[in-house]
Amino acid sequence: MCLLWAAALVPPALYIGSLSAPVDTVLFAAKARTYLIYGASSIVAILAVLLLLYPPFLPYTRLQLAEIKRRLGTDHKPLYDGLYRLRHLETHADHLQVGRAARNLGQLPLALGHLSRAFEMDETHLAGRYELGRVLCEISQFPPAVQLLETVTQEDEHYCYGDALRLLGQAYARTGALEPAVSTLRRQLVLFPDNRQVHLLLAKVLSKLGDSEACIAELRKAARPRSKAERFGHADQLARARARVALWRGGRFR
Amino acid sequence: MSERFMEMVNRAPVTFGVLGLYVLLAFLTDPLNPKGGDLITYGAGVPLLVMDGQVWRLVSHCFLHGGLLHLALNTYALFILGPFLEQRLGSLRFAILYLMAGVSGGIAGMLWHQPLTLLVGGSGALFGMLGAILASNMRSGRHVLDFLSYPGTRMLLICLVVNLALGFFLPMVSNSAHIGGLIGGTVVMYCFLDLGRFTPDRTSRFIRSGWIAVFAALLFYVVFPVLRWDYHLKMSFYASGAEQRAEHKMLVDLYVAEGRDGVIEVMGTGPPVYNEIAERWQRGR
Repeated sequence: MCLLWAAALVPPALYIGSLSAPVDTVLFAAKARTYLIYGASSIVAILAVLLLLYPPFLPYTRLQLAEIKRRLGTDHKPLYDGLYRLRHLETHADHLQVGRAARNLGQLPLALGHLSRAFEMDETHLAGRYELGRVLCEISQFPPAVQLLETVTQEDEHYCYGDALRLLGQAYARTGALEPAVSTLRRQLVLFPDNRQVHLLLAKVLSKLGDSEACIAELRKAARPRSKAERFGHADQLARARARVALWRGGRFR
Repeated sequence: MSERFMEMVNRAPVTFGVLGLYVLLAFLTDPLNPKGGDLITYGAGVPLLVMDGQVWRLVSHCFLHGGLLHLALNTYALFILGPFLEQRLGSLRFAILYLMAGVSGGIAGMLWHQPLTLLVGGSGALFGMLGAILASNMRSGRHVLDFLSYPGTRMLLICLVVNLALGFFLPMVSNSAHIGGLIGGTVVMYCFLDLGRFTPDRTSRFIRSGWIAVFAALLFYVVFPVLRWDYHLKMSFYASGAEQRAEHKMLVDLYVAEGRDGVIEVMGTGPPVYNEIAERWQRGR
């Protein structure tokens, strides 16, 4: 914000200079403008190159573009059908359908409202609790998310909701419960050992706990090159890139 | 019908006051065939005249229009946006927003255009109102870009971009005034008028004072420009010392020699005071 003040001082300074030496002031200002334009263009070009070379930048961009593409290509019909039916009769299933559809379309406040209502109507429904927990994590409401996801992971014996452990680990980490976060994430890795996001998340938690050796070991697993048999999504690519940057920093995160 | 209309006027008096001014000034300047001289008399923005000390034109130009279509489009836009914003902000804050956005658009137009360009229209202020709606949404979210999650505000952003793009392709449209008004309205709303859920801390106050300083500096520069040949032409006659007058004349000769800003074409085509200066300069060369 000092730039604002610096910019504000330029016109009066030019005017004061022009009172005594108008020619010199104008020639100086014209030269300064030229250097500023060329200098700014060069800096922008250098920053653009550095940005392209920074590992997380391209995976992040691809992830955002994929998300936009997914949202634009998601059918709105389930949402509208559910909302129409809810106008006549309120049911748990319709609230759940509307909540899921709204979440897929990125309309999180709408999703939260309907999923909360679905939970009120039937607290025993496993899918409802999972969906609500997922949305709560997305809007960074971690304490209630922990309560819901704990029950989901306890009851989901066959791991139908494979992401629940990862979300629970993330929620534990964000609420400061680091030891439970570590154990939960390790459980997730037993089921899905190649999940780079979980390795990165576990590394962050271990770093907060002060276990730098274990942190670096997890970062190496997250940053290792992809094998041919591995399914690698955009989120995994981003996690791998961030792990590489963290390894450059000696296992430290920003 | 009249009761509903009076109710609308009661809820948004400033909006309807501005609409009334639009219509009144349009009648005074002949909306079907407005003439440059009439527009200048009633306050069109002209960089040279603002430089001459007629700073009030930065405000008055927002209420004039250059034809029936121009008037119709701006009136319609104000009719849609004005009552909504005025009810949200209150009449006083809305008036401040309109004026500041209009003046910002005027300043941008004065900085960008040739010295004898006529600038009229309330679209700078209207762009400022669109920017104010955007700023209000930016303030309301958990973070500044949260408003992009909602389809309504995304459409507003697209509407802004489309209007700006149209301004680049249509002749007689001052996109600089639109952009200046947009920036002015957004900053005024974000930093001053709509505090949202946040109370101003030291950093916000510093930022706010920075923006005030930038606005004051730009206004100062519009009245006392240093990098414009028309300013030096005027100073070559009106500067206090002979040496200074000679230096200003040297700069004008430099600008003419390099053909900057179409100097030769513009000279002698403007208001009488300017023609007189240009003729005296030509005789003295």
